[in-house]
Amino acid sequence: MSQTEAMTTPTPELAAMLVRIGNLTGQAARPTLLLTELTRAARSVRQLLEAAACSVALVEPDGARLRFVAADGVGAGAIIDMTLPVSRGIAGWVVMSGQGIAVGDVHADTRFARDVAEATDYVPDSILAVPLVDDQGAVLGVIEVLDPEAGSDDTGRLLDVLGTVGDQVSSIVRLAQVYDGLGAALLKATVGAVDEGSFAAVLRELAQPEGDGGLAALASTFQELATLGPEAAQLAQRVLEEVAAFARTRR
Amino acid sequence: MTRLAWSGSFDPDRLAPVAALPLPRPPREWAWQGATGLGVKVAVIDSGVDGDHPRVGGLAGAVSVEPGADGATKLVEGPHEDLVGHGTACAAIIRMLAPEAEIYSVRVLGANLRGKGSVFFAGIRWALDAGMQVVNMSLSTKSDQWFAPMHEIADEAYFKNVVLVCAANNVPGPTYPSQYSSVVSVAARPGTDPYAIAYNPRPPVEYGACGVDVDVAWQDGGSIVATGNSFATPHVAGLVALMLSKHPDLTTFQVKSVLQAVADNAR
Repeated sequence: MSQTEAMTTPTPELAAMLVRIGNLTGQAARPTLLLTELTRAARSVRQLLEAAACSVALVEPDGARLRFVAADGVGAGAIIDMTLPVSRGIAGWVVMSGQGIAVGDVHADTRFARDVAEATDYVPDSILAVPLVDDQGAVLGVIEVLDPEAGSDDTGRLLDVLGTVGDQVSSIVRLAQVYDGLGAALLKATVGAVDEGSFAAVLRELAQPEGDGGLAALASTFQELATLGPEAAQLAQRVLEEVAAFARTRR
Repeated sequence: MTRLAWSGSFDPDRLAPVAALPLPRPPREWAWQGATGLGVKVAVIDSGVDGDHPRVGGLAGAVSVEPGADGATKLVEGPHEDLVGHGTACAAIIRMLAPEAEIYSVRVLGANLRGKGSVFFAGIRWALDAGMQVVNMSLSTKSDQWFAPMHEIADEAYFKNVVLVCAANNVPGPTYPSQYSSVVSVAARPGTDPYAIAYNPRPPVEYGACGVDVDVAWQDGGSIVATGNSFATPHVAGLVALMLSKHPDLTTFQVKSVLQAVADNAR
């Protein structure tokens, strides 16, 4: 039986196994745990700016809320997993506008005080916040610093420095999303094969530029991986080899 | 001290003197002395404006742009809340400089980031169609997909003599429409004189204005101290409103030339 013929009659078991491989390879291919990296970045920023706390919040997939995913300093434990509407507060304005901002006398910002500071039992005097933006211009999240001491006499420069740090942090988030996208594409290919009954037909359908991903997105993902350096490209190669090895077992 | 590439353009030690048009001396007096902003329509494209804030002192109008299906947008005319306080801050700065200007709130920030670019664009479209003369935009997009549409509408505004005053961004890389030469791009610089600006001939930002540790209006009738290019921008928008109320026939490129001539580093 040829490989093509085998793929025209996918079974639920085949689909389940491919799903598992897709998920595992996507997770395994990630260079490291995203949250560990973001927490490390938050700690570095807090120490660099001698701040009371630093946190990173990411935009939820629905685009309507921000979720704090990493933090260091006072209130860090309380703020993790807290969510806020993107329409609220200083962090919300930063992700909506794409602009960095520094605010002194935060007490006057009653919404910030109510939503965040009270939850963490810490009310800062000042806050710096800059957006995390991907290379396509989409806002991924926000990095916030509470009560920075170092350089606080030059808040304009502080904003510039944090903007540069935010640019680096956003690359970490983007990299993780690239790997997540890889697993999602494999999953879609699997489900499509089961529904359509023809793996080749599904591949052709997925290769169309329209739609929400598919083979074109998969190809784009691998291309993007290649631009990230030889290690990422090698990981991508390993993913392909895993899938190919699995396919051989089904002949 | 080493400054970042897109910043520090307005440091006194880096700010070279520029040859400006020989306006009657002193140029600030020619540009706006005696003006109040009377008869000039200024749109604040932002998070909404609290017209009841004592430092805003009322609005001439308000419209909220909201996302619809498939990238469409809809306009909701009438008073609305300032979701954050930022739009109120900008409007209050403009009011301080141009007390009789007609300020319109154009709310383009909402409950969801999806469709943000379309809503932002529709806000600018509304400002042009509604006959605004000055548009304050303390926000921008970095999305490449909006490069061409924003460029086109910025050029349309330029030739209609609608002055788009746009905040530069602290984050590296281009932002639209602040990047275009057809707009007035603004970054923050230290100082307490709200009428003082500086001119930088090198991109990405042409004008520097008061925007570091400034006392600004905020939500619930309050005030905060804030830093950001987004607060420098309404200082320039306010000055342009003054200028246009005194010299209503100025074109956008003349406005930019006058702004250069009144700059601290003009010779």
